[in-house]
Amino acid sequence: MTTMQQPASVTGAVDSERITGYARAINEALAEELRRDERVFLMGQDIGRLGGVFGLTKGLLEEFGTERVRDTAINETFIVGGAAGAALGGMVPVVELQFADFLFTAADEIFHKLAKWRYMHGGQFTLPVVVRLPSGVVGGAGAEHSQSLETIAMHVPGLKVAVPATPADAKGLLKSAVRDPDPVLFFEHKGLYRVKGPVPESPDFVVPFGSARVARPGQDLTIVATGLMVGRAVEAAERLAAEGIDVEVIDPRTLVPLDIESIVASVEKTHRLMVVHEAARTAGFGAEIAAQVQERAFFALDAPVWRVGGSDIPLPQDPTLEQAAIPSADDIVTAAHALAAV
Amino acid sequence: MPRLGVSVTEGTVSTWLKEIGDEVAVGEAICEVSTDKVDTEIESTVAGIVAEQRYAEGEVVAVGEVLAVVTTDEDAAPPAVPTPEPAPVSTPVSTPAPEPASEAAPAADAGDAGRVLMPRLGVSVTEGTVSTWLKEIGDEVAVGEAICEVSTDKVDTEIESTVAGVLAQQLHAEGEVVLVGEPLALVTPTGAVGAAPAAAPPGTERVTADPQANATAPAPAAPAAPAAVPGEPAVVGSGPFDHEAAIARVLAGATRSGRPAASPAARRLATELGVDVAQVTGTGGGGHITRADVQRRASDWPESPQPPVAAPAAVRTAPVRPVPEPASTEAIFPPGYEDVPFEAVPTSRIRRVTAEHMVRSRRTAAHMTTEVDVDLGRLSEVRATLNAQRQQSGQAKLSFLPFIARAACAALLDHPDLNATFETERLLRWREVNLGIAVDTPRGLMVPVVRGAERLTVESLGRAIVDVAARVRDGKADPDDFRAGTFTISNPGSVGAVSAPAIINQPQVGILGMPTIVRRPWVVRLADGQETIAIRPIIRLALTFDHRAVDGADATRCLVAVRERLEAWGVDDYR
Repeated sequence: MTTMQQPASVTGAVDSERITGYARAINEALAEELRRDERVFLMGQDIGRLGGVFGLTKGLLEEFGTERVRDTAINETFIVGGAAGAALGGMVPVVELQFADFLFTAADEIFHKLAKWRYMHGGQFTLPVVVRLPSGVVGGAGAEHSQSLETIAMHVPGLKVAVPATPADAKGLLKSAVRDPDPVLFFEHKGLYRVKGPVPESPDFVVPFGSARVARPGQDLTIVATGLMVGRAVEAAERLAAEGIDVEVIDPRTLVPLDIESIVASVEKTHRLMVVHEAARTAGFGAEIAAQVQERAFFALDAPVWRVGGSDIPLPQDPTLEQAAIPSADDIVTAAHALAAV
Repeated sequence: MPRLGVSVTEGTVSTWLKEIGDEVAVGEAICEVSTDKVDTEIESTVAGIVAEQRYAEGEVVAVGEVLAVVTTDEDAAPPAVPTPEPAPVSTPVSTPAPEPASEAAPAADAGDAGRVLMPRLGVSVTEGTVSTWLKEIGDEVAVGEAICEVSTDKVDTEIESTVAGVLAQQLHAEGEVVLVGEPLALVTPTGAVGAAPAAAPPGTERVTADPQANATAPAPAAPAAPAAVPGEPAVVGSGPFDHEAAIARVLAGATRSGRPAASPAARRLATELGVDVAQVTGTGGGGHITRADVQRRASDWPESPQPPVAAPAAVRTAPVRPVPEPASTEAIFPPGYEDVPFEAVPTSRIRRVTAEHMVRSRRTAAHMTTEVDVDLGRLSEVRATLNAQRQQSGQAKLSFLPFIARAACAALLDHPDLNATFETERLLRWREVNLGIAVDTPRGLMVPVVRGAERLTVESLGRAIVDVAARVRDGKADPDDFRAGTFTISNPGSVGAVSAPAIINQPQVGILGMPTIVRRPWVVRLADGQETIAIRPIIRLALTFDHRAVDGADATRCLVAVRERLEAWGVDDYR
């Protein structure tokens, strides 16, 4: 709500004169948090000397040393399990899995140890672990290296889930994640690493969890999108605007906690909702948002809540087919046209 | 090449209707084939481009052979998935399963081991009902021996076994409907139900493509090789989600519940404004009621308290594409007419409701009109006699309308399918004739309803029609006067029309059009059997009916029954 009426956090990002890339913003957030809090340390495969498989941690080993920027073996079980142990010992681990898909390899550590131990042990401790998860389709990485698994994280209570779509949000949300006392699964979109945008320089800049961003204001249709899909939704919205369909694009930025209030407020204005996600259409977070919106705002709706999602298939490796399997701006326009018939 | 009959094993390609390179849709005819029984068109089971004609014209093709190869679009979309629905696709399970997609032949011809499948019993027949099992479980059957009788909407026929052995399972009970290609029975060498073919759900398995394979693998019940049985593939979606089709499905179901279809927001607004949604005509997709419709109803209501003619009908009728909002004249100004002087006349609510209803009816029903000429000479005399009596007792004259209406009611009792509502899966035969009478009023066309018209004498029917028409013209009719019509009479003859096909008043099946009575030279038979030409009052009654619900012969029989009653009318009939 606050975001809708006073988009302070939005303008916080836009105010900046400085243009920086999404990957650079993540690197900067890590460096600032390492400087700010000596309990913070990084762990992951090839994050030290190589600077990370996608180069996100370049230069950090040089500044903070091998004690705080730790290379590990190819062993996600160890990486996340070690982080859980370190957190119990009073540290604030920020770990990287090379691909978000590997959270399955560390499933017991993530979904049991991180998500549940605070609760199983009567709140004696918290597990302030950030798991950075390079996510989504990026050009032929294949079915086991391209998935969007944020809904799975969302389904297991005890985890927070961030899905930044802009460089400013990547930085601001990651800093919030590091400062959060609870485990955060941080889904960075690989396809956005090279995207540039304004990012505030201040080390105090953070983006709070649970506060949606209005990526484009509009009156006729609300589109909720995350990650790579935010830009495509905005592009589709610009095209639809030329036809007189004024689309509001909302980026929730975190799925847990979810700013359902902002989404409902938008739907109460536009009376129509479409959720766009890269993940397979079936049982994605679109289904959850659709359910919550109809529970809260059924009588605001003029039309069925619509979902535009990836095809229900293992993602193909061919880059062209891969793009065909996830929503394009064209798909969003097509779906909006279809929905306009209601 | 489909099965074109139980005993038909081959056909001759007579004409190719699609050439190589032509686009074909599923269900589109690609060639004509003649057999010893029938000549028929073969419809494509695949959409795409004709790549190969496997047989020249004049060549004989065995049932089950590939007639033509149709390739799907340029960039090799998955072949076996013609619909946008999520379809089973083979997943890499641990066994080297034969891929369903690799077999292009339709299920009916695939010859599943041990299974007798429901054959195609005609090009447009998709299912049949098992009427009698001729072979019981344990009976020996030979190839070509009848195992059961099946009835379809076209034929009743015996189904012959395609497998020799012992009947192990009857997969459908008598009375059950079986789709073409589904297994009917399981025939095994011993009559034992083997684990493999019987356990798998129908339609997914292809144990072996060739019935002869039974010979090489004679023991389907052997537990030795469970790994060789392909698992059911996981259901994954192929290709993009079809938003337009999904929305069309939503709209098609908009009125399915039988109550006014309104968006949740429109319902809330209606509650806030005190509008009864049942009285609102929906202009949204599928005819659903939008917030704008509720607003319009709320603002129109005070000026003209008449319920719109078609409002009750709008609730129950089949969905159509959205009707454009009437508002913006500029947006749809006809191109090329910019320099033509004009006057813009706002349409009345009745005009808009009528427009919406007419278009919806045209799109909903398969309109067809049948006509008969009726010699009203005898009835004219009866009417003159009756009116003379009525005048003496101070009653108004009867027009021809109540006589025709009365004859129509009587005929409808004998032809109830025309006094009905068609709902695809069923036909609702209404047990009373609620006769709609199209009334031309200064505000537009209205169709009030005379309830239980079949119970009224011709004179009381005449009075009821006059009463309700007067109430409508005076603006004193209430919503009940427009409700529950089951058949309608339209009388364009009153203004001089000489023929009277009409648009069906949804959700009805028929409408009787009364043109003007014309005095015509007519061939009449004299008492002595001679024929002569006389001047007779002739009316060409037109019955427009929904061909989805009834066929032309039935509709014409009903109309002929009306004619016979009118031509044979005695002075005391229907009094």
